[in-house]
Amino acid sequence: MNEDHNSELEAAKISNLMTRFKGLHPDTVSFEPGDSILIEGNANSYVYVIVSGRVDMLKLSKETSQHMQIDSFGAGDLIGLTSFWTKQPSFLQSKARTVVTCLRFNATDFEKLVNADAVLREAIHQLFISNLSARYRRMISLNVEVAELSERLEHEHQQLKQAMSELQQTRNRLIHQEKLATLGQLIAGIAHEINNPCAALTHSVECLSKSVPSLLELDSTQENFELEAQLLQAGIDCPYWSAEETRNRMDQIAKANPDLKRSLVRRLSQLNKETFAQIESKVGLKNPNRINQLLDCFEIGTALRSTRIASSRIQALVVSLKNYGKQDQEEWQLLDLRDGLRDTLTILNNRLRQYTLDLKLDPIEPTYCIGGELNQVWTNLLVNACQATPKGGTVAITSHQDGTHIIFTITDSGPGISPELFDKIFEANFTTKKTKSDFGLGLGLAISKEIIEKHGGSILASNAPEGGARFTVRIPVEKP
Amino acid sequence: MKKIYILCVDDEPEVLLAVEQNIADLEDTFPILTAESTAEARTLAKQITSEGNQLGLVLCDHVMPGENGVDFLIELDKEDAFNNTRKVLVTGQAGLDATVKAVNEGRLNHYIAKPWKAEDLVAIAKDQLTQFVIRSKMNPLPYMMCLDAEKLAEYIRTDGSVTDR
Amino acid sequence: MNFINKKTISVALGIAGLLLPQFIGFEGLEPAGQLALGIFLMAGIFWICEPIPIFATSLLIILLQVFLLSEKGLFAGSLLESGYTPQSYKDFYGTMASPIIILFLGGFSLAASAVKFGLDRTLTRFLLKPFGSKPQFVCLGLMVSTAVLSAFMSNTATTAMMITVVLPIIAQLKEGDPFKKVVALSIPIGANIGGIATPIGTPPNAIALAALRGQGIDIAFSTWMMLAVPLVVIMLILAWRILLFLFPPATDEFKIQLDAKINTSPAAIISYIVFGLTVILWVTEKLHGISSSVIAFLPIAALPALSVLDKKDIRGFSWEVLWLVAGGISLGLSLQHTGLASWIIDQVNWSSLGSLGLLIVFGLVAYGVANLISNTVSATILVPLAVGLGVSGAAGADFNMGISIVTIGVVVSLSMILPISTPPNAIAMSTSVIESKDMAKAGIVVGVFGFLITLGFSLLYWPLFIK
Repeated sequence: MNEDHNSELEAAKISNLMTRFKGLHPDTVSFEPGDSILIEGNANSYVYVIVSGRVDMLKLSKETSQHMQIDSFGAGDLIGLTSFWTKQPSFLQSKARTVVTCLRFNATDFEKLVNADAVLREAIHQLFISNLSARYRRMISLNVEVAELSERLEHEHQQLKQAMSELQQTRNRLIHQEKLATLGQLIAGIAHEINNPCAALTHSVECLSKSVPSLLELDSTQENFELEAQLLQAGIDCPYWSAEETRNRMDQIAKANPDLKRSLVRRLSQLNKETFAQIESKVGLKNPNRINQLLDCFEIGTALRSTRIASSRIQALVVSLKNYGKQDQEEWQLLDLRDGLRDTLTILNNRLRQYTLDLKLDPIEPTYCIGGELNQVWTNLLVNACQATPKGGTVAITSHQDGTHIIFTITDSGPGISPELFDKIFEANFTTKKTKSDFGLGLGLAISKEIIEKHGGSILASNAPEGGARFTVRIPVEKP
Repeated sequence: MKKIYILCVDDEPEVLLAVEQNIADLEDTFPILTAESTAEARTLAKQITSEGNQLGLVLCDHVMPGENGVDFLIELDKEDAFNNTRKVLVTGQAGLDATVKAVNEGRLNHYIAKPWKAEDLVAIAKDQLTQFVIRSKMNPLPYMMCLDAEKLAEYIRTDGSVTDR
Repeated sequence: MNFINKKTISVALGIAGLLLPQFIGFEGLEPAGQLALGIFLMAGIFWICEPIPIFATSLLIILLQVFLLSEKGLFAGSLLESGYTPQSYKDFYGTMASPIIILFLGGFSLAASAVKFGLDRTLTRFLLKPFGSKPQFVCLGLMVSTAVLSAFMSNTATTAMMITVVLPIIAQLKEGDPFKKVVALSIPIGANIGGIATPIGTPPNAIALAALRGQGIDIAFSTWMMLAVPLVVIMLILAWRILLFLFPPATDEFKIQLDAKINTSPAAIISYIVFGLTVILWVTEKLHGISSSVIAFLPIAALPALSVLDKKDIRGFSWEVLWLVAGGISLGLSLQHTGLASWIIDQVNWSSLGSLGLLIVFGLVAYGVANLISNTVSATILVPLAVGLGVSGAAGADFNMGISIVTIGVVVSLSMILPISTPPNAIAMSTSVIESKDMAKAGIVVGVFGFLITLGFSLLYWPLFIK
């Protein structure tokens, strides 16, 4: 540095002058590296002129409580000038970086020095001014540098902010896509669940629209119209017979009445025993027209029964769907976590039907949670369990409370997880399935983990002692 | 005379009832048996052949507890006795993969989506049984009234399955 | 498993029928006759009760004949001792390739090629066209087309084809229109009647022709047609009027789709030429003198040679019909040769009936039986008896054996009361527009008139040809 070079020259000049100017005895002091020369906040009564070595000027940052380096001085530079002059506490701390040798002037010496000799005064003034101007120049360049730096920082800050928001968007989009993909497949399953009662409804309506008009054509003055009413009621109250029971009943009727057509035997087999006995005794089986009329009445009854059962099934499904579908309401509520799990089980019934479900849900306290999000967790865990388990296997679910935490476990009877994957399994896009996932996009476990952590809980993968993968979910009762 | 049976398989009793009532008109010619699971269906199928009768048509649901419909139909097709048996899937949902598999391996003959129209189900059942009668080279006369008379007549014309006597 | 069912009972009865005559001596019946009676009884029971298919019974007859009655049979020695000369087993086997069987085989070849190239369908369209769209004439058209085709093809195959033509017509008619029934009934009636027209029209004709030939009465293809075609024409017109009378149509006019597309591939053209040529040669037998059975080998050999028919087509022939007929003819041989037919005839004093009475009895029995069992079988059982009656002279001098044989052959084809009477009837039921009682009504009326007209023919017209 030029200044340094000049300062050294100046320092040499000063020491040269000093030799000529007797009667002045500035102390020559030396410092070891790390020694403090001036301490920040303390009063200072000396001016130091560095003869050799380097001194760091430090300032204590209030924010970080650490010393920041502000400047460093070398030979010919002056230390303590400002505090000496203004009589105020030292503004900076100065610390020796190397072995430092300084000339130290106290106030008396300094007075003498300044007033002693015109030549020396001149030299000293020059030294002061050059020292101060060097400091001033450095200040300016520092200021400029700081301005530039903060501008660059601001720019980088903006870029980071943008990247951050883009990342956030991508993440949200992925989560949304995962939700949509899951939803699509759920809907297909639910369609089947609704289709079965729908098929029964369609059939019942067809049956009713065929039989009711012919019922109305019946001669109502007939004395035993009562029998029709009875059969109608019997149909409404009649349970579904199992296929085996139907077969047995058919065999029985056919054996007793070998002349009856099989189609009639089937219709008769649907009657309960009392009704059948009643028809047999009051009408006999030899009067096909009358029997068909009565069976029509009975079948109107069974159609009404089917309609009732089918519509209540659809209704129950719709209720579950409605509860499940609160997924997008991000609202903290006090809920029994088992309800959401049960709704999810209803929704997934179509998938779960091929497995044995082993439910052990102990009573638990209502828990603060976002119900819809937890439903997504249950869905993911259950679907995973299904995929890992061969058809006909078992999926076991338990719930219990452990002090301040609710604990759920979902265990399948599949091959289990190899232990080195216990953590990896929760990474996004991790999949053990060879082909493309047939459910969701493979983000299921990652999203589940995130949701659970949002609830202040944890999710853990392990293997059940009897084999099969087990996922344990812990959720605190209180809002985190 | 050998009887040709129809076997309906569905785990939901009300759906099963709907199927059997829809095709009730066929019953006097083709006895109907119903089963609530594939295991029960398999027992009945064996019973039908062991009594010297034939299984002409299976109407089977896909999603059921335990074994699903497609796997059952594929297994069934592997047995010689049920090779000609017409196999129809009646389902609200079988994924594309399962259906493709059933068509390729089980030689699935038809796919009926739930909910169906009664007349469609009857028409499909009749058509499939007609195919069964033709493919099994049976005497079509007892079945002409109940099935597709035109197809069976054409079969008589070209195949000579019925002759002057 | 229940062993006491219809099948086991009829098998037991049949076997009893075979064995019984061997243990009960019948006066005037030689041992050979007893064996033949056993075979006859068993065959009759099997044919009527059908525990096995009727053609299988026919094959069983030939088996029993070569084992029991032939010169190489088990009892050849003892039969010779009893004064009976056993027939050569070749005679029995020969029935399977007798001229009449070959004639039928020729017919099968023609029919197979016709079906293969849709000639039957094309011809129907062509034949139906002139009859327009008035319901009554459409009905006549259907009957005529069916009759023409069934004269050369099997009645059953013709009916099956015609059913595919009429089902769309029936579907087009309004619910409850009696014309539906007319359409559905016109086909089997046309087919049953049409089968009478030519020797190859239906198997009973073969039984009659074979019996006539056995008695030295050789009837040419064209001669048979001259005997039968006028009867067929009258019967068709009569049946047509009867149907319209029983089920008057409610429709005035309707359309029928007649998109006749003729197959013009080289093989099809060849088949048409062979078909036409064969039929022309058959009907002109009198002019050139070549027997129809000889001509019959032309299509048999030419169609495969010209690659019109392949081995699959030949496998598709109704061989069992030929065997059914062959067994019938073979049974007839033994009935005559062992004297069984004459013996049966001798059990009744026939002369009191007079020749007309005899004709009526034979006709009625044939008609009645044929309604219940196979027409061919009815003819097979009755024709040998007529032959026996003629040969023994028991019926008196004015009994015309030839005419009574033809009468039996024709009358069995008029049996169409029940759905089971003939396969065409059964097929017609499948249209679901007729009930058994409709068929019975039409069948009885047509049958009674037909029977009377046939009697008229046998008294007035046929004697011109058969002395």
